Amino acid sequence: MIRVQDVRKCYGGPDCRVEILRGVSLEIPQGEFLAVMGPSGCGKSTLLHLLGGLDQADSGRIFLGRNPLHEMNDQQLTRLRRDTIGIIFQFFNLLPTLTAQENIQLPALLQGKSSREVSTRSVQLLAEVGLSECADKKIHQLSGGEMQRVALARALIGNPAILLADEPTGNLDSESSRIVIALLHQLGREHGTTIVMVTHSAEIAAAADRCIVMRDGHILGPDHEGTAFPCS
Amino acid sequence: MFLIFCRHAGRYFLRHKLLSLLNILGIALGVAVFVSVQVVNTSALHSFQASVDLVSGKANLEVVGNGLPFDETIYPKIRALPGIAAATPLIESVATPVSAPGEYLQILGVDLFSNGPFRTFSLKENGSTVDFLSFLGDPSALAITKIMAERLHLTLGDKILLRTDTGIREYKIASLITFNEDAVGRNDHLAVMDIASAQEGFGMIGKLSRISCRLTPGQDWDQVVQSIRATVPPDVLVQAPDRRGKQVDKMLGAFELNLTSLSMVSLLVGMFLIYNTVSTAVVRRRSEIGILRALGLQGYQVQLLFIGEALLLGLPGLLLGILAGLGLAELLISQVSETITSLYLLLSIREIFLTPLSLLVTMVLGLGAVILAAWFPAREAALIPPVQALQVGYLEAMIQEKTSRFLVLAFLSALVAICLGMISLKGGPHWLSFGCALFTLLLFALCVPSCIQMMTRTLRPVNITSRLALSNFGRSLHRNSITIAALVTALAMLVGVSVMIFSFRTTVNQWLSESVRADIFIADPANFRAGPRKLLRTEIEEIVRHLPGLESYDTYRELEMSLHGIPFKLAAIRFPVAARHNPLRFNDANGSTIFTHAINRDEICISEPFARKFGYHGGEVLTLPTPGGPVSFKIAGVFRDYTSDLGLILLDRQTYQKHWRDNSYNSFALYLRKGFSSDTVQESLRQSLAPLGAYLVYSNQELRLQVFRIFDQTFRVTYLLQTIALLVSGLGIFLNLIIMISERNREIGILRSMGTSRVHVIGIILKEAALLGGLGAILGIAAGLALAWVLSNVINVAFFGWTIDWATPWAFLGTLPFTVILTSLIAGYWPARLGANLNIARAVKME
Repeated sequence: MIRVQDVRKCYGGPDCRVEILRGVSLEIPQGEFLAVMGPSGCGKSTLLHLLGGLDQADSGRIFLGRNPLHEMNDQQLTRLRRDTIGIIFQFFNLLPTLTAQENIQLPALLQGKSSREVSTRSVQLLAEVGLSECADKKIHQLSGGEMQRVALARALIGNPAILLADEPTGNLDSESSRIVIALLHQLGREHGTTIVMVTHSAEIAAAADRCIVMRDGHILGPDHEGTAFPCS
Repeated sequence: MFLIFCRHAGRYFLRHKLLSLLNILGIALGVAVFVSVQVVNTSALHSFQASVDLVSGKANLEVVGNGLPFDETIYPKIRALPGIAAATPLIESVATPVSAPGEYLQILGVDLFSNGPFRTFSLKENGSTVDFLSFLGDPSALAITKIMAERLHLTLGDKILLRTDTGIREYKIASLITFNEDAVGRNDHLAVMDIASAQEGFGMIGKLSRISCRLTPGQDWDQVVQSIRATVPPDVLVQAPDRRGKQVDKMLGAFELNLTSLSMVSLLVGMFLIYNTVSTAVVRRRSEIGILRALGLQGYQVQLLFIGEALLLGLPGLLLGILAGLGLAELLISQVSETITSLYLLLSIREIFLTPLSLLVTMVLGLGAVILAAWFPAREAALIPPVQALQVGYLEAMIQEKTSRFLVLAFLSALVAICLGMISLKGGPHWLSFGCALFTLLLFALCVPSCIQMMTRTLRPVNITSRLALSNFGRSLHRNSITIAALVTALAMLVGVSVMIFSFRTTVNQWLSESVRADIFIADPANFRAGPRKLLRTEIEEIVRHLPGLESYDTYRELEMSLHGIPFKLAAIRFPVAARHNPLRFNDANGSTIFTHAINRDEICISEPFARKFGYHGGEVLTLPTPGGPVSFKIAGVFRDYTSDLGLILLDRQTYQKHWRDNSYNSFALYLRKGFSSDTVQESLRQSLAPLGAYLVYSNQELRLQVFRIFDQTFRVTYLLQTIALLVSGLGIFLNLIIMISERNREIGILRSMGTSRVHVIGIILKEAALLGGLGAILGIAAGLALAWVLSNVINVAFFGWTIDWATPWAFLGTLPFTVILTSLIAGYWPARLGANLNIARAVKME
């Protein structure tokens, strides 16, 4: 279960010139696929970053299971990201010096798993995302859709309990988007992973179990505590 | 368009303040070193020329002895010659104050009556010009400069004891020297006395050092010179006063050229910095280039854009460097002055001297270096097709393909280095040997990209952070190649010069053991400061002969002469003593045999530098000017000598006295019988010599210490230049890593988002820094050893002719890689922390 309680976040130094999140509260049950929608600048990516421990809220509380993110230091957050969370970004964020397979292996190697175990698992994941023949290709040799599938495999290699996807289809054509979302859905189900996906596309959001809409740093809907309505 | 460019470039630099500052600093350091050396070289020559002008005054012709003073009866003959409007005789010598043995006075004995038209100074007493008759009336009257008076805590009327060639004499400070407004230079050490007093005080009765002449306006210079030459003995030179300046220029030429070359290394390393910055900017701003090209900017305009940006950095660096260089020159001046005095001639460089021309040359050179450094990466930017510029990975892939071309260039550099070295050794221009050194450095710099690739392929990383560090290291091939090349250049200079100095020192040490074996030496104390110029009193020989414990003794008399306008030294020793006790090391014969054979024959021995400089070999005949006319001497052999790079001729004392008719000595060398303590004999000697004056009596060990003091002093400036070059390359590593962090913000953000801890991020960056330093150290040492070989066996032989036996400083070389890697880690720590502490969310959002 993910719980967000009255979280606020602003930018612009101590003056807090731009308030991005204005008291957001939310609950996401284990295994749910949640889509977060809203216009640009509404705070959906910021919310995702806070859930992933990439940034820290100015006030409020966030729990990932029993882990209170708001009380954790950098070391603890890092360990949490390594062991519990997988992240997919809009611009793929793969390392250009590594091949597709090596990019996938990276988080598991950071966890300290053996090369052999990691190699076996990466081959499996490459097959699951349909990229077995691209294992040794460098990133700049892949298409956008292929890169995002590699990013997805990378996010799953550590068997994370939570998968955060920030506009995973934002840079893809419709066909690639469809493939990626289907994979996200399928692999998430198979591994029982809680998925939180940020998107501005209602069509993409429809794949989720539930969606919430944000605007101006708030979650909209009849119940502001987060029991949101389906987006479709 | 120009304004937009300026705004754009200015904003870019303001956004990357640290980068800009580091580049400016790197250029400034390189330029500062170059400027300081040029200023010091110019100042040295200017100071000498000024002192020549001070002595010669307004003369346009001078008559001077070739090594020895000449008969004063020549003077009236010259005065009477047609075409001579005025002539004045001069005595020149050196004296040391008894109360301040570290100081010296350059004594000028003048004829105050005839000296008027030539003088560029006046003698003042309490502000008024001195009455000459009263000055002449007192044989102890001496005039010194105000600065020297202050230094010696003396005022008008005070007495001063001076150590002269005839013993200790008392003089009175009768007036102070004031330099005229039209005097070219100032010499704080100048001391003036009446010529008769100088002749008496310095054992030159009936002799003169020099006659200065002024020609009648309209007279033919060559004709007058001819008529004077017909009047004077053959060993007396007739020349223009500025010829001495040209001779000194030649004398100091090799010394100055070596300093200049060392200073250019710092400039070269600074150029690497600019090259690195511009080429990194090209890679980072590839999309900007693509956009500009797509909008219609021509390729050459893109090139001009980047060159212009480099100049925007280079210009403040240049100006800062010139200012810093002037400051550095002030620090170096005293070191260089001391070195030149110890090795070549008395010189006191009082102030730095900078001509507008040398300033202009420096600016042109500095700007040229910046443009050259920026040219090639800017040209690459111009050649990128617009569409491909917008593609990630295109430039990096393009650079990877060029690696083999660099290897070919490296091979060609090796060939060029070998050719240039051989040409310079076989009689070609000496400066080509520097070309040999430059191409040797280039060879190793060009091997860097291939070495990086080999390293990334060969090394087996033990964990994920090592793997990431290694792959990043190999990926940033272009930038890392330049950084490592700069480090290799600086390290090569450090290792090369250090190995050469170590080898030289070892060789000199060996030479001292073999060739300087006397137990005790006697000399004038001034010789330690001003070289063997002072003469000893002839009574000393009697004292030495009767010294208890003496087995034998040798004498040493040295003259500074010139042959075809090139200075050298001639020294007379007692060959029978040398044959037995100090046979010296000859190149292809036994020293004892050579010395024994040369006794009572017109045979001489020449040093390696003399042989090299004048092009003579053993067995050939050399004609030397003597007071009795030119004499041909057979060269008995070529010996190793490290006392001077001017070149030395040794001949037997009897042969010297036969031709030069001179009974004086500069020093004695004593050999004791077994069982006699050197300390006891020294003490006894000092007591015996005390009535004659306080002469220096020192042991072989003390001589060795003095030799190495001068040796170490000679290279002190070199060490400073090396340190600055290393600083600049260290700056380069720091700059490289700062650029890397800013380039890889997103990658670091990705790693952090995946759970890489700050410690791991720091570890990755530090490992890259260690790889930079490690490869730099290995190649730097290899390049340094090659450079050391070139320095010892090409440059040294071409310029000086010395034999330097190779010796390897293993301890230094063994610790160097660790020092370099540690320095790289220190340079990398702050950038690593920067990278580890960046905001992850912001970093991953970056495109």
